[in-house]
Amino acid sequence: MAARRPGTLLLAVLMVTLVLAPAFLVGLVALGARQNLPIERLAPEAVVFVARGTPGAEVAVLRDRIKALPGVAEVTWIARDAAWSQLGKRAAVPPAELKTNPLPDVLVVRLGMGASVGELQQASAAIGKLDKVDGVQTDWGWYQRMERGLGVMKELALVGVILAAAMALLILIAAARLLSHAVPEDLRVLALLGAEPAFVRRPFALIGGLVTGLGAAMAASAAFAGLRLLDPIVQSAVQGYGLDWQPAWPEPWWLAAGWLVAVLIGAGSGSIALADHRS
Amino acid sequence: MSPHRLPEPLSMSVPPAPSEPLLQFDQVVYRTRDGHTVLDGASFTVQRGEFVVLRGTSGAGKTTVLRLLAADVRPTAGRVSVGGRDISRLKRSLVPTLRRQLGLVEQDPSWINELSVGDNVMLAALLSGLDQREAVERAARALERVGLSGRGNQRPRQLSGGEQQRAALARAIVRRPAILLVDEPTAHLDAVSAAGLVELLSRFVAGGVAILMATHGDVAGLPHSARQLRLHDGKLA
Repeated sequence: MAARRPGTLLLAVLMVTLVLAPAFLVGLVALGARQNLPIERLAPEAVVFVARGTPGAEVAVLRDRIKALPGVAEVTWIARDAAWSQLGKRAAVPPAELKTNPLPDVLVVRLGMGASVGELQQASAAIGKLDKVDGVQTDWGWYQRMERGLGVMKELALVGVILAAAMALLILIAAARLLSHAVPEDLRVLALLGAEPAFVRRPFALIGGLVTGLGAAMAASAAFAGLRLLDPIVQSAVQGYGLDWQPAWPEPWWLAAGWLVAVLIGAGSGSIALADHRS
Repeated sequence: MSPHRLPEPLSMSVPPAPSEPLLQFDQVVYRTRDGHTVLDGASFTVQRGEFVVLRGTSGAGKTTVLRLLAADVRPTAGRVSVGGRDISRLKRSLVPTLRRQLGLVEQDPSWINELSVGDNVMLAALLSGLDQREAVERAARALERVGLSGRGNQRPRQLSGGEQQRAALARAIVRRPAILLVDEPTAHLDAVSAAGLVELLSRFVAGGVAILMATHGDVAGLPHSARQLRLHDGKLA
């Protein structure tokens, strides 16, 4: 069947490759983003101003107490001297001209992702009641906007993934059926001679599986090659945000399972296509 | 001549008794979907080693009789038996098994044109479960019996009408069936070729094969023992 129509075979395989390769590439980039980009940076934060004159040891104790509170993911202590030094560098004012350091010790409290504003307010209220805490500064507005934005993006992404998957499936089925061309006379002969349905169906299933299997393998190769090309571009883009990027590769068994699913879709489509040609 | 194999019972149980007809129609009624009655209580039997000619005008239902025996269609009423087994309500999944027991020759033989004549004949043998070697041998012998030895490498459409009929007969006998259903084999043949083909069929009868041949005209070369059935108004006489 395939030998009689090599051009059609090539077209069918290309169809599968062209639809799967971009999807696979997007998946690889998403996998890399998930592994490389510190999503926790988007977590809500509260800035805790420690009372002036609090000794370092007590600041450390306060830090540990805050860290133990529910909903707190991390606490970073920015010592007043370090902050003062940084400020001096940025302000371009020599430190010697600054007689006293007006800055307090600050604890930057990072809370958990996905917390509601109510929970965040409860956490900051609890922090505010602690001893040696002068004040707690929060800005939940941006967090709410970001959460809403992320939520919308997730829903759009889900719809996009479902639509893309449905389209990909239709194209895979169409490609597998392209070669499932049966001459009615051939089918008539096989029926006359008492060929079992499985015998008749087998070549159609095989050709369908061949088309999608080859196409999926080529798509994976193209996606990997594409990722290699994109790697330096993505690297330079994320470095501007102070991040690092390493390409992520799926587990081999995921690749094998995906390829097998593609083959099965093709085999099933080719087999079902036979029904269109039965006399 | 090798003994012809009796058809395997569809349920793999006891084969039909020697006196039991190989083919039987019992008050068979067949109506088409649009309500046209093709057969109206047709009854007949064909015993092993019998040559029965089914005559009738075009459209009388001769091909329908053969299609009912090959389980291509089901009777509206009545009983159709092959090899002693009722196939009137045969499950679709068992139809291929039935057909592998029969030798079917169509009026206009169908071929897998990508294959040679020899391969077409061999395919029938392979589908019966024979191995490659035996299938090749049987195909060669079958073609020889019908007078087409040396033509096995040609494509079916390269043969003349008469030769295609002979090739179709070779394909039908390669499995050594006990029953041959032949539909208008002489329809497109000249008198000499037609007589030759009928004479060829007669030789199989001598070996115990039951033959039911449908035809709309007179056929020369029939054996004296051939029985004739006339199909008229849906009934057989």
